[in-house]
Amino acid sequence: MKAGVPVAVDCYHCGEALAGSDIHTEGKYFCCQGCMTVYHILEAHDLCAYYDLNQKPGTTIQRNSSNNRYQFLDQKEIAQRIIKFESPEVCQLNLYIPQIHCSSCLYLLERIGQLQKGILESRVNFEKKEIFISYDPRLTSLREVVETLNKIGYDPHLSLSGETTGRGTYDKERLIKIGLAGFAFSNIMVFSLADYFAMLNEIDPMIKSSLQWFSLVLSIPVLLYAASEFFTSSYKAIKSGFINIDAPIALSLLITFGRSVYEITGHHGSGYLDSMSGIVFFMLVGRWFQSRTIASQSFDRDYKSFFPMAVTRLVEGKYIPTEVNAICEKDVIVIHSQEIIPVDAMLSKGRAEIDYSFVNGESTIQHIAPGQIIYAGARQTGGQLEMIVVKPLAQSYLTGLWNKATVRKQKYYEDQFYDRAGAAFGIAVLVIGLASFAYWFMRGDSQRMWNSITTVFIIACPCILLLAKTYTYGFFLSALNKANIYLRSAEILPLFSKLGHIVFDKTGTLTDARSHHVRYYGQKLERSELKMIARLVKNSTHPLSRAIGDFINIQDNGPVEHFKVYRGAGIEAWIDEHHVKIGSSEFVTGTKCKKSQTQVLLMIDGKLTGEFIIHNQYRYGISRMLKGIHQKYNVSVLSGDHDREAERLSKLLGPEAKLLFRQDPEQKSRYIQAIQAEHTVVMMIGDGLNDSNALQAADLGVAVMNGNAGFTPAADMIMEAGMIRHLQQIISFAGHSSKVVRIIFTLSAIYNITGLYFAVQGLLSPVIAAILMPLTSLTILLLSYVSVQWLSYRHPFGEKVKRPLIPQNKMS
Amino acid sequence: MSVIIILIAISMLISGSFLISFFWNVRNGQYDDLDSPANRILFDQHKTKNESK
Repeated sequence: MKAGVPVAVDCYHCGEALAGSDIHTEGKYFCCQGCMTVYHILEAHDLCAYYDLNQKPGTTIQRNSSNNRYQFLDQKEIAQRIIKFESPEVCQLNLYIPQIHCSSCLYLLERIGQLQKGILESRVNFEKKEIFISYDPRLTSLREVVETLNKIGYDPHLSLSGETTGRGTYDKERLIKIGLAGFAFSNIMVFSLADYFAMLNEIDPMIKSSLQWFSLVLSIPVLLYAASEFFTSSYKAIKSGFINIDAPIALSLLITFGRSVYEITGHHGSGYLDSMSGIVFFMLVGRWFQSRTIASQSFDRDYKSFFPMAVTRLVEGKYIPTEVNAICEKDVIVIHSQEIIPVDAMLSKGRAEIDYSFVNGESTIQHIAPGQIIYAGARQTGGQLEMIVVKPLAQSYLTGLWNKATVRKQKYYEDQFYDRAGAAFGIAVLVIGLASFAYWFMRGDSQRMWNSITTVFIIACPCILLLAKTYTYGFFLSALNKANIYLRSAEILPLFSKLGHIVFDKTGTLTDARSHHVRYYGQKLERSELKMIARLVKNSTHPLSRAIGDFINIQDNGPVEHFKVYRGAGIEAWIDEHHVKIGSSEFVTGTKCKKSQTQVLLMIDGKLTGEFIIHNQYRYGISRMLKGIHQKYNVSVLSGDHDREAERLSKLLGPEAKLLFRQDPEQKSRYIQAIQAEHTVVMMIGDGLNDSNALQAADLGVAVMNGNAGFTPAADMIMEAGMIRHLQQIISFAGHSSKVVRIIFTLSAIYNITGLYFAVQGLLSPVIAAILMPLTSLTILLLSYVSVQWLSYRHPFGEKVKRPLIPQNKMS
Repeated sequence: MSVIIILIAISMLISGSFLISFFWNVRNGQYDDLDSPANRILFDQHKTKNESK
């Protein structure tokens, strides 16, 4: 790093790179004023253990929010939607805070009462990333509580739908069923062991029969309660005219139970209740495992969750916070700096500096003159605006965009194959069992007759086939989750092996909107001139100023006089008796420039010296990834941006790749449909709302996330932006999934057929069958686990993740 | 030998009570959040360390 900046290169609060900033206090360096403010607040309240528990635990404070950002929370109707319980003395509520990620967060948030008086209790639910707060409404208000959270960098997620809770819930019912089945299984197993070993030594018949009765009593709740979902699901399937994989399971459960009851009551034998409860237990665990590995909670977010809940409305000179839903045509609304404009509206007052990146991917800030219409989804980066609503929320451009994509195409998943195979297998087993029963009946061998029918049903339990798929996909998902890659469901995995075409979005996906690539054209600059520029841009927080500052890379703390900022235009100042002016072409020279590049002109003492050309920086490792991917798949890049980067991109991708610029969301999804028309499986990788159509249209929509609190459109897969460089490894890894399932499936089919071969002959005793069955299941599971581990070792995409995007579901 | 049957019955009762307490735990939400309590228990120590500085 630069001279002058000591060893610390990361912000003490949030761990962001300092990037040359020298905001510091007590020898601690911060990336921005916001982070330092949080530090001061915590220090004043003796909460600095926050920094002792974890290194750099904070979240970057992104904006100085305006004072009235949460004004709407003073409105009774809105507050009532959020507050769960209300009385004159105490109010209680749950808030979803996506930034919660470490024990420091927990520490701070549970002591928030020290920062804001009136907060009686606060408790964090780590897994759900929720905070429960109860406060005294006489001492504080909802707005103050939320503002306190916001002040320390924990923005609660407040949404229009009024739903702040309900994430990460798990199935308590299933957990209880598993507990019950496990309890019964282990006890019955122990009882049966006594029986198995008694083959050598004679067992007291009274003990034997009482053990059997104990087992029978234990197994009844397993059959009636724990296994109920197999019966209800297969009943539903049969009612609607098909057989699912639960049907054979339900049947084999019934038969084993029936045979066991017959044997125990008639003193013919000891039954197979251990294997019956074992089947139920393992099946339930398998399903639980799978449902836990799918982080379904953030896949179906819609545009509303990223909109503000309310905007300020101007009525007869008074500012009234109003719910977005209640905004009508011709209302006058006030938009503050950094707010998102929630409806289509016409600008009437103020300087609009609009960031449309959510809507069309255009990264450059647009200046819009009064009288023009600004579409919903845009973010105002300049000062305060007054606007007249043109269309209410329900009819706005953005809502329309979103709704168009809601009809989801039927995607061809493989899972029906395994379900159907399982069902067919179940029927086959039924037929085989009955046939061998009939055969031995004709032969008059009643011993073999009973043996064959029961062992056929026990040993050929089709659940191994189901387990093979469930567990293998589960292992794949959890391996991916560890690297911050989340799939909507396991059924998507087979698609990876069929991929033919990969479509990238450019802005925000291939490029990193936060870092820039700067080049200078013009007269050679003296060192003294460079120092002046460095000094000038240091005084501005504009991203372009920062980019130029980083580019010059000179640390200079000299004085700057008559410093002036012209919003959206440029900056000027007097430095060492020289006048330095830097900014847009219109600002510096007075003439508009038609160049499409982002350029910053430099003028020293009234003389145009040169210009800085600024590109977005491509993410680290992108070019290597693209070259690798390109050998196996067709690659296209779609961009909402100008074509100014065409040359650089085609150098990266080679001549065959298709590059399309100035694509609107509609064109993007049409492009994907055109590829699909050639029967190619398309993966679309994008971020932002402008890609949501395309993500929905693609067979595999991948949403890329920057940081952990960002907005993601609905997608099949979510991954962290930094992981893009491992894309080839990820695709290859996930692509192996269907192969592994196929191998495991074949293997378990072979197991089954071998077992059947002996079973139909009545050679196996039911006891042996009952021991073999769980043994084979276990080996199958072990095999699938080992092969997934080996594959993930062969595809090293998962470096250690700093913080999970989505709360990791722990398996214990 | 038949005493073993009584023993088994008693052991079933005891383990059954554990099962019931497990049901109660699940319904009561003790498995809702496995991480926070584990972290929470450590905090006071940190604080006293800070104060004694």
